[in-house]
Amino acid sequence: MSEQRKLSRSVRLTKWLVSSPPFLFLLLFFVAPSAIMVLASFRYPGEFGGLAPLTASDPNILQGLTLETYRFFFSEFIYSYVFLKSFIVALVTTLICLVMAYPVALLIARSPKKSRDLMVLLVILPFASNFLIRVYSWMIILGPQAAFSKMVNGVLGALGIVPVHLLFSPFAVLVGMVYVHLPFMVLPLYTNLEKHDPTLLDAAQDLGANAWQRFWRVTFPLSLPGIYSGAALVFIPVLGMFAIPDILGGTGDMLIGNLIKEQFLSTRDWPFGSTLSIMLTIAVLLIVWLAARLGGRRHYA
Amino acid sequence: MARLELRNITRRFGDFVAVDDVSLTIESGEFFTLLGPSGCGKTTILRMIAGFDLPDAGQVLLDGRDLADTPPEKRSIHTVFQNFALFPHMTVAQNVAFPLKMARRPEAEIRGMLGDALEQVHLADKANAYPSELSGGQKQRVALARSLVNRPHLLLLDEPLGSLDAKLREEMQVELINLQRDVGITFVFVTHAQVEALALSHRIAVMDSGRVVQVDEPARLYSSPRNRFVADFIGNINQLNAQVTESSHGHLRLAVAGLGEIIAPPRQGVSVGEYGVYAIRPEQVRIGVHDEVSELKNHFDGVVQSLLFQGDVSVYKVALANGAMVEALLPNSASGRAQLFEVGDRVKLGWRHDAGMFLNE
Repeated sequence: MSEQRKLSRSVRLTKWLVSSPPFLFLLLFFVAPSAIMVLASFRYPGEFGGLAPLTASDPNILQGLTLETYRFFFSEFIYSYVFLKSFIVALVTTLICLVMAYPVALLIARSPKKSRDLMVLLVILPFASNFLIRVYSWMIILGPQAAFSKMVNGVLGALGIVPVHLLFSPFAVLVGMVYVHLPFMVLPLYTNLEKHDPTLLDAAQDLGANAWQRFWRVTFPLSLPGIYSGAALVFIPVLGMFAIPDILGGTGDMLIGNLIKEQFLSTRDWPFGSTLSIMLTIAVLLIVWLAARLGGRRHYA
Repeated sequence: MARLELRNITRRFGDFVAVDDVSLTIESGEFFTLLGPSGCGKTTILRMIAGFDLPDAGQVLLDGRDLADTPPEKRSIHTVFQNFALFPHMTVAQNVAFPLKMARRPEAEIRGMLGDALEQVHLADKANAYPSELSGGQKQRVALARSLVNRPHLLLLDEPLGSLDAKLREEMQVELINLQRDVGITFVFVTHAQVEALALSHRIAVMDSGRVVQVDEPARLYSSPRNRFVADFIGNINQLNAQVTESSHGHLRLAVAGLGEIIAPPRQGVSVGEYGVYAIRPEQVRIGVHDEVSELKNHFDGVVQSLLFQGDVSVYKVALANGAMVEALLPNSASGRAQLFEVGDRVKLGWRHDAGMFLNE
């Protein structure tokens, strides 16, 4: 009995030792900053940026805690509008990525084993160069003097349509978002599709399913977990992305990411920036929770 | 119900000839088995019947119609795969209804046929379970129900019992026989397990290196194998190198070096002087010390080398004078008449003059 107890104690100790470093890491670098952010959102902005003191001897100085930033967020329609716009951009980016990534992932998964690694390498190759440089390169590709712009406007001109500016437009933002996040959709999809048992497709065909039915009735439903994780990996970063709209969207196209960045770097309203961040976090958690509920309904592993 | 005909089918993979000029006719309602060691081409034949693979030469005919231009989904031929290939994201009912949905049958009809099919394999209470919640035997039955639900002309079974444990396999064998008799559909069964083939089939085609060696009923295959490969593959058999010294209508006389003479049943196409093997099943070999063994036409002295007690029978390995090992089977129920021997005992082995056979191939 006591032997057993000693054993279970050492097992518990091992569990603790193994799990405590990541636990401490998360505590220090995720929970603590989040808590600071929550606290900051209830405070007043400092005179020259930063936060106003919690207590001050001078009664003329703003101090203490307030719900002012939240009231402001909900009272101004513009912020809800930016949120909505960001959600739509994230949603559209995710859908475009899905439609573009699926055939690629399927192609890789159904290629001979030898060539798969090379193809995966090609998918992640863009990561070898800096993210900002890759986004800036789209400025050149979409710029008015680029061959691509000239071709598009040539076609539009022939059809009698006014020339368009490709750069600094919602279109350019979308192109940049899709371009940067496409590999994050391809990889989880490929990982999922690669595990599919090919005899299931044989069985479906054997039982009378044509190519289209084999895809919709077997491959697609079985790939849903891959779609969910790919969608999460694209949707969530796109929602908070500020660099791409900054570079390719011009001044008019502001998303939540830009808004938050602006609160900290130019407007210097830290409490409001914190509030926006918290609203974004809540929104993302809500989506993840919904997705987990959707995904959790499946009975197979 | 359909008659399947394979006409001079050949399939090559690079230099390797997987199926070599195979011709077979499988009658309507027959339980037909392709039996052979792995790599003998039996699964390749199955895939060509199903339509997943096409022969390089020859024809697959179903009721006289060439299937060359009919893709698998258009053939009224269904397969039960070795790993069952159940759709993991569908319930038992959805799996079984799949071929009906693909055929766009009306919803009411699907419900009726689905109910019947689940009833037939005793799985009506599992309709809403997912494959991951089923045991091996239940998965097997779902796969069978799914393949039979829309009454195909032909059912192909690719080692469907391979993944089941021994006891379950025996139960499923009985179920398969009953099911085939009830539905009356032609079954083509592929296996490397000869016991399974003997128990299930109306006829068996034994395959070796892409060729069909012998097609026969199980009993005939066992009693009259055409060559050494079939004799060795189907059941256990003792083989002694022998030369023909006399061939008449009534019998063969064989000389076995270092042992003496064996009288064997006659065989066509055998000439005096020819070398081959004399093959005899262990259960045909009598073992004893008494004169009753010596009265047999063929009898030899030997020493018991090993003894395997298997419950119902004991298997003795006996070394003969020329060093050859012969296995003899002694049923333990007969212990009143027979005698148990120990390793090292001197015994007499004997068998009737019409037992065993001379094989020159």
